[in-house]
Amino acid sequence: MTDAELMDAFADGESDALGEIISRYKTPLFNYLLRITGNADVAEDLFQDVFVKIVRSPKAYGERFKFSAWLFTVAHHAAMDYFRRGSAQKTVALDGDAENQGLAERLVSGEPGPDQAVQNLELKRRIEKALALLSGEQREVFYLRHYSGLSFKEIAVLLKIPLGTALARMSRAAAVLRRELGDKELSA
Amino acid sequence: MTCEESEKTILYFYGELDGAAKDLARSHISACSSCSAQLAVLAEACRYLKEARMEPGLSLTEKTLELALNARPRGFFEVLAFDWRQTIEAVAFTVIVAAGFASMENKNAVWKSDIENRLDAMEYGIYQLQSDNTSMWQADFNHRYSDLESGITNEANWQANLTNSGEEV
Repeated sequence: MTDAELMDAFADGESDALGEIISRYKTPLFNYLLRITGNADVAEDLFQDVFVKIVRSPKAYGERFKFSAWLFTVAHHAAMDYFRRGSAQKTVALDGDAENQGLAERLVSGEPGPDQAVQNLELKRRIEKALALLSGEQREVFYLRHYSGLSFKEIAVLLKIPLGTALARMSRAAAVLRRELGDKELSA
Repeated sequence: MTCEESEKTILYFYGELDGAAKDLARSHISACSSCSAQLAVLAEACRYLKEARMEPGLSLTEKTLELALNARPRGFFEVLAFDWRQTIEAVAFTVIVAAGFASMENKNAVWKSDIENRLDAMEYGIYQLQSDNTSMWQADFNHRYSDLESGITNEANWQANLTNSGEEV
């Protein structure tokens, strides 16, 4: 069933349809919220908030939008509300500090092994560090494009910015990554 | 240095170009070191994000489903059907409270009649007191009136006697 059919079924009282929707989007949505907030606990809370808001008006998105566009619009607003509430101060930085193992380290860490594996691990750390250097606006566009699967045009509508602005932010994000990673690293 | 065509390269990388635009972009990238490096960076970053993604636990999915289902707006009969336990508890509570009021009504009747009896007694007492006072006052008045009347009578008799004695002389 398509997302729209599942939501229609849920609106008609089929609870299983919602379970199917959650299963479909749990990984990309959770990881988007995780990357944007930098905190797994906050990402879990926002994840739940998003679906609670979705079910309160299951037909709110109407036929104008894709369900995924609506889902990530709600998620984006939830993340922005979280930052606006000032709760972001409590967020553990993605790259962590001396006392806490950062989320980045958890994402990157693996068992030491052959040189190739160590080299890959080092590259992953550099990528993680480069991602941490993206500005908030660049991060928004970059992670939305990666996790939501929405086109840049749809992302521009979601963020209420011109398409050119969305592409420009993405271009600058790519430039930051390229500067941090260097051309030689990737060609090795 | 970023190429002027970098945004088109990004659209090409994410598959958002087709037809002639796609062919043009492909041709440009093959000839532009900046755009090809940008493509490589994006490819590496996306590959990394796929590998590093975290899978939300089953508990999060189940908890989210439960929260979302409870948050769903429901119709009246659906509420009764879904929350049957709560419905039974609500009905039982209503019955208990109603029974309590009913029993209190009887107690109220007894209590009320007791108060009324006392009020009646008090009212009767006041009436009695008023009556007694009235009687006493009346008796007092009568007594004084009869004294006065006696006095007047005696005075009249004395005047009469005086007149008579004056005529005899």
